[in-house]
Amino acid sequence: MNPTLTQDEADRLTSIAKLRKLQAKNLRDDPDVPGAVQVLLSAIQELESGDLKDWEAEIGRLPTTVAPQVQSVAFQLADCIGMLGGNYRRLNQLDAAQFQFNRGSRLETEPALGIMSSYNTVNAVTLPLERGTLVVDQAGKLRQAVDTIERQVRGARRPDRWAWADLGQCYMLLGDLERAIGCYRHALALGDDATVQSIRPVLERLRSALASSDAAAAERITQVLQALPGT
Amino acid sequence: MKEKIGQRKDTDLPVPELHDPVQSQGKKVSEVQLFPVVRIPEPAGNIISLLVIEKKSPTSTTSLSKIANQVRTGYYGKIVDAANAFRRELGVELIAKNPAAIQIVVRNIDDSLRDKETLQDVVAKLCQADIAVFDLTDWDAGAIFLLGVRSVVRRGVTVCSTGDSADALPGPVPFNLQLLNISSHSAPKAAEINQHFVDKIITGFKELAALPSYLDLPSYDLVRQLGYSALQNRIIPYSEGALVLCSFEEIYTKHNWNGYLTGDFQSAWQGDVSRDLEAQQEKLPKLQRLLDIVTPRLIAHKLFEVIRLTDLCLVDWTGMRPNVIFEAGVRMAVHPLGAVHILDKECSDQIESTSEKALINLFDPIRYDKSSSDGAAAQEMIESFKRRKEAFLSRAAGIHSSLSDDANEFNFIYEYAGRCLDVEKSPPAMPFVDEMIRDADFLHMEDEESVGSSSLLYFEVNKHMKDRAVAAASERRLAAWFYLSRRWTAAEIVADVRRKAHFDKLAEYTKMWARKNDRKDIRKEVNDLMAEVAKANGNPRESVNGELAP
Repeated sequence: MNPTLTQDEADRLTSIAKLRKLQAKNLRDDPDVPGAVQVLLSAIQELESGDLKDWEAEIGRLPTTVAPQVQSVAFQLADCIGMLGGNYRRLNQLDAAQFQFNRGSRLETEPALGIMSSYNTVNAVTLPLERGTLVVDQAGKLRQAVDTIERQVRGARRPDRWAWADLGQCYMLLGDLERAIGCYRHALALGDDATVQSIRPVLERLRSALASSDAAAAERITQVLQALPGT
Repeated sequence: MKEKIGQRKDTDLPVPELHDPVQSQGKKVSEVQLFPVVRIPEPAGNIISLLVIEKKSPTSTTSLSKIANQVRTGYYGKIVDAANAFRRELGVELIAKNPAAIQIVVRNIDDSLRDKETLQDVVAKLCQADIAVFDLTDWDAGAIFLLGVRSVVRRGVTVCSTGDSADALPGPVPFNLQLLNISSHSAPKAAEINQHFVDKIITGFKELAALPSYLDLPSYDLVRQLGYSALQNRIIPYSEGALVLCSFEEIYTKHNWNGYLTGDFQSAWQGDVSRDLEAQQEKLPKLQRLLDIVTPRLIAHKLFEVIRLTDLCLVDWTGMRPNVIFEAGVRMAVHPLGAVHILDKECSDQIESTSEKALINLFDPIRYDKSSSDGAAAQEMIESFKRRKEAFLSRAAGIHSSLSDDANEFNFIYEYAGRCLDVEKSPPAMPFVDEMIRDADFLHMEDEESVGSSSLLYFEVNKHMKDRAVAAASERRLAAWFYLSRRWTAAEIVADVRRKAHFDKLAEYTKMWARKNDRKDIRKEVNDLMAEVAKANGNPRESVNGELAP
């Protein structure tokens, strides 16, 4: 990643990404999910066209920390990729969704970028469950995600509702119902009505996917849903 | 005319002469100003103006002007970037990145106070400097006076530094300056000092860009935000009150305040007020100091408001207290009548530093004898106020008065400060749309959905408050959209990059609002306007829905 990315250019890219995300949300809710996908693809293209164009090759070889302006653009890139993955999932294009979540997870788990998000990482692990595909060492990957997110919520992500929701999801899939419910409750306390509207369908979709393959896990999800206020 | 006058010499009739009242002291005609016109320098547009108010101190190992030059040479790129971030917020022309973009102006404190002309020059610089650096070594009286002026004339970046160690400031920090973040330029490592100054300047510009109420000095907002109603903004006339800016030292309170000011002066003033009023007032006004003001408000907040509103203000230079000197700077910059400057006769010879002497020479305070009761000094103070008022009224009415050019009668600092303000970079208000968007973002961050958190206090524990804030943010974005979309045509919107960015963003927020509130009419209106703007922009990649074509 080019360390010469200027603050001006980072501000410009961040501004574009924020606008495209707004546009994508509107299109998604219209609902015009293919339109949202197009907007997000264009946003990602813009973010990757300049200084971040070789990020995939450079991940894992970055210095301990990178410039704050690079971090802020990388956050936007991960966010757009996560939204794109989510929209592909809505369109039931699960391979494309998985591809994007995996890409986004690589950004999120790169320590040098310090990205305060775990959306891609958690979805990269849970999407195969929804699809009924086997995941090698799924529990190990979930525990790894838990470690990362727990570290984050002890730091700057303490008031981040999505961090707590992601953590709750990981605990739930690992069979720790009590912690899962605690995390979800905290996420809802930090969030608003939209948070409830966002969390509930995720859980329901997961329960539906696991009903035939893992009845115990589906039952845990039911218990989580029943325990959550307002759901 | 001279010839015609000359022709009448042989008559017994009175001979007319060319006469100007200002010539009474034998001034040459060439020295007489036809009009009291003052040259007002224009604020520099495409540079960063860095003003250094410097004291040449034998104890200081490093001079601030030297630091300023090193900082310009070594860090101009970072400073220009930060300044541009602020300028972008204001919609002001951006600056090219080169060392010449930073113009350093150095003013020696004592020289600045030498006379009216030099003070006028430095007042203009204080108003127009994007960055001002003050040397507060030994709490220099002149520097503190100029800091008082700066604190009300410019919302800019101000860095205060001392040649003493910042950990060991000389004596207690004056009350008005206690919240200041004071640096030290006495540290042994030059590179560390330079980096420290650069960091302060850059952070200052960034925060100036992000925070509408950014302050690094007290009093800027306090002398402006007096309240919304005429009653709250009402001046306190001579007959209703008087403010004294003075020391609170025990000895001063005992002899000067209790002995003279609330004695001789107050009696003379109250007597004058009683004579002026046809009917005797039941309750005569009393002198007030900071501590006498009856209010539950924070003392500093009330003080600056009263400084702005009270017509009769006495500045007692006795003791040369830093607080009083700072307040005097504020007063002279914010009140057209200036102040009646006074000084205990016994303390005249206790004026020590060169800048203290310069201030005393400049304002020439009325000397009073606190142990005498002849009332002459008190009467002189009252007359001085009245002359000031007359000078102001004459000037306001456009009457050329011989008094109006007298620095001791007409408060040139107020007028000069007001006329030199850099309204571009220190505006009275942000552009309306920017202000609405900013207010909305404070209530509900633009990227809140992504970061999953809120900057709102108590959002974690009070959902109702959070809902109200989100709704308030939504209303502000809606108001901004309606204003922007009607105020400018599509062509005007695309002609301005910042306006276009606001338009794009607000269009999306308005669509969200319209969907949530089932307002298809507004949704259609937004789409139609977006189409119009896309057409004006000549952007074939944008469809009518504002989405990008593949």
